[in-house]
Order: sequence, then structure tokens, then C-alpha cells
Amino acid sequence: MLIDPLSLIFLTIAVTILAVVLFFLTRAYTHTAQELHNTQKINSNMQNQLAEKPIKLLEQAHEKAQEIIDLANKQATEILASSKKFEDTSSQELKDKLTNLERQQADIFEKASSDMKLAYQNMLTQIQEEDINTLKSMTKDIESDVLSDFKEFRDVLEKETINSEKVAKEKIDEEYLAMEKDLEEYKKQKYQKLDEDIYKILYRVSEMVLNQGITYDKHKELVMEALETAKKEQVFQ
Amino acid sequence: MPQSALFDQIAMKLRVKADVSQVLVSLEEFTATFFSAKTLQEQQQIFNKLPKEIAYILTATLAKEPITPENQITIKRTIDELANALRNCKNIQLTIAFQPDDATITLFSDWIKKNVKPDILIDLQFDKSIVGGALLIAGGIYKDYSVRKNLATRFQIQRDEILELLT
Repeated sequence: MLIDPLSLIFLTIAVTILAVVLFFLTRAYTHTAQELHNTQKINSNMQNQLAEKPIKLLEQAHEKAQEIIDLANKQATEILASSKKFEDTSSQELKDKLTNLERQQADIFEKASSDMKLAYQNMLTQIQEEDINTLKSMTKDIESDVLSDFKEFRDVLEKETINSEKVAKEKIDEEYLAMEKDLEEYKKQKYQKLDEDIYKILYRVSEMVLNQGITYDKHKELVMEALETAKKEQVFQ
Repeated sequence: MPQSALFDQIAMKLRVKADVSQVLVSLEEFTATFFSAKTLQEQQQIFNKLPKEIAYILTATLAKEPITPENQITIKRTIDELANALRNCKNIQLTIAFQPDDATITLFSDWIKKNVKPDILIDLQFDKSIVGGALLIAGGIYKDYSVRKNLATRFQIQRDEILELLT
């Protein structure tokens, strides 16, 4: 197989470039690794230094703190001692003042109570008197009103009773008259009916009796009389 | 005989409306013999069914001699005219409460012929409910002369008195 010379050149150049690049990369890596190593070393030193310093600081701080605490305790004890003394003094004073105040208040309250009691008693007496007066007045008023109302009621009742009695009497009279009239009418009708019935019966009986009782000659006579009457009355004209 | 004279004669003898009917029947029967072979005697027998006096008049007038073609028309005319006159004869309706005998009918008829008019007939009716007396209808006028009416009137007038008598 034949390789193109141009391609071979290019290939060679490319390989060369790659080799150069690789060389530089290796150098750079080595340099960097060296730097990293140095840095790690410094770091380790610094860590060691740092590890030793806090402990010392802590110890110093502990000592100082202890000193402060001791001082504070001492001062606190002193303050407590002085404050107890002050407390005792203050308590006594307060107690005295309170006693005084209590006494004063008791006096004031007693006086106020006495005044109020008096005022209340006065007021109660006054109200009682007013109430009695009002009650008396009300009793009188009520009595007067009741009497007046009763009188009025009695008058009205009397009047109404009289009116009612009058109306009732009139109504009864009217009803009585109407009833009497109805009764009269009824009696009249009944009598009329009775009369008519009797009349009819009597008439019918008379008819029957006459019908059987008239003789032949009488019949003839009656007809002749009828004819004569008709002639007189000019029926045949 | 003049026509009116025959009617007057017959009418004088007729009493009630029923008599007229009898006469009319006889006249019709007689007329029917004109075209039959009836003898004069047989023809005269027809009128003998009627009251004697009427029969005599009719026989004397219509059946005196046999019917011949010559007198037939005249006789027929006479019969027709007589029948018409009898049909138009006036009458008075008389309602009575009893059944009258012949003499009584004659009595009533005679009175009417004498007092009203000789050719007036009686249309006799019978109604027992009128009790007695008569109801008359003459010339369109109605009159109640019955005992029933008299009784009713008397009851009406004297009602109180009657009732007083009863109580």
C-alpha cells in the first residue's frame, strides 16, 4: 500500500505537535504536583501551630475566669451582707409605716362609715317619711278614685240596667203582641177552616137530604117557578 | 098548505128537541120511499111512529095521496123546507133534577109555547146535582134557578146564623 507523501507529512507534523503538547503537559503537571506538595507541607505546619495555640489560650482564659468568679463571689457576699442589713432596716420601717397607714386608714374608714351611716339613716328616715306620705296620698287617691269609679260604675250599671230592662220590656211587649197577633191569626184561620168544613159538610148534607126529600110534584113546581122567574127577569126576550 | 103554516102546525105540536129528531128521521124515511114500490098505506105508517097529532098533520099534508111523478117534486120541496125549518127551530135548554113524565114535559112545553113563543122547543137535560129547580139557557143567556144555587146563596148569606145554630 502506498501512502500519500502529503498525508505522511501532515501525519508527521501532527505527531510532532502532539508530542510537544504532551511534553509541555507533563512539565506542567510535574510543576503543579510540586507546588501542591509544598502547599500541603505548609498547611501541615500551620495546622500544628494552630493546634498548640488554643489550648494555651483556653488555659489562660480559665485562669482569668476563675479569678473573676472569685471576685464576683466575694462582692456578692458583701452585697448580700449589706442588703440583708438594708432589708432588715427597710422591713422595720415599712412595718412601722404600714402600721401608721393602717391606723390612719382605719380612722378614715371609721369616720367615713360613721358619716355614711348617719347620712344613710337620715336619708332612710327621709325616704320613709316620703314613702309614708306618698302611701297616704296614694291611699287617699285610690280611695277617692275607687269611690268615684264605683259611683260612676254604679250609675252606668244602674242606667244600663234600667235601659236593658226597658229594652227587654219593650222587646217582650213586642214579642207578646206579635205572638198574640199570630195566635189570633192562627185561631182565626183554624176557626175559618173549621167553619168552612162544617159549612161544607152541612151544605152537602142539606143537598143530600133535599135531593131525596123533594117530591115529584115539588120538582115540577120548582121548575115552573124557575120558568116564571125567568119570564119576570125577561130571560126569554 | 103554505109552507109556514105547516111548520107552525108541526112546531105547535113539538115539545122537546128529541121530537124534532124523530120528525126529521120520519121525513127522511118517507122521502126514501119515493123511488120504491111502497104503497100509500105503508108510507103513512112511517108517520104513525110519531106523536098522534104530528102524524095526523104530516099524513094529511104529505101522504094524503100516492106519490106520483107529478107531485113528487112539490112534496120533496115541502119536506126539505120543513126539515130545514125544523133544524133551525129555536129552543130553550132546560136542565132539571128529575126525570119528567110525558105529562110534565107537555106542561113545561105548553107553558113555554104560551109564554114565550109557540114554535120554541125545549132542549131537556137532566142533572141530579142541581137538587131541584132548573138551569136555563135561552138566547145565549144562562140562568141558574136551581135549589143548589139557592141553598148555596142561603148558606152564604145566613152562614153566621147557621154556624151559630150549630155551635
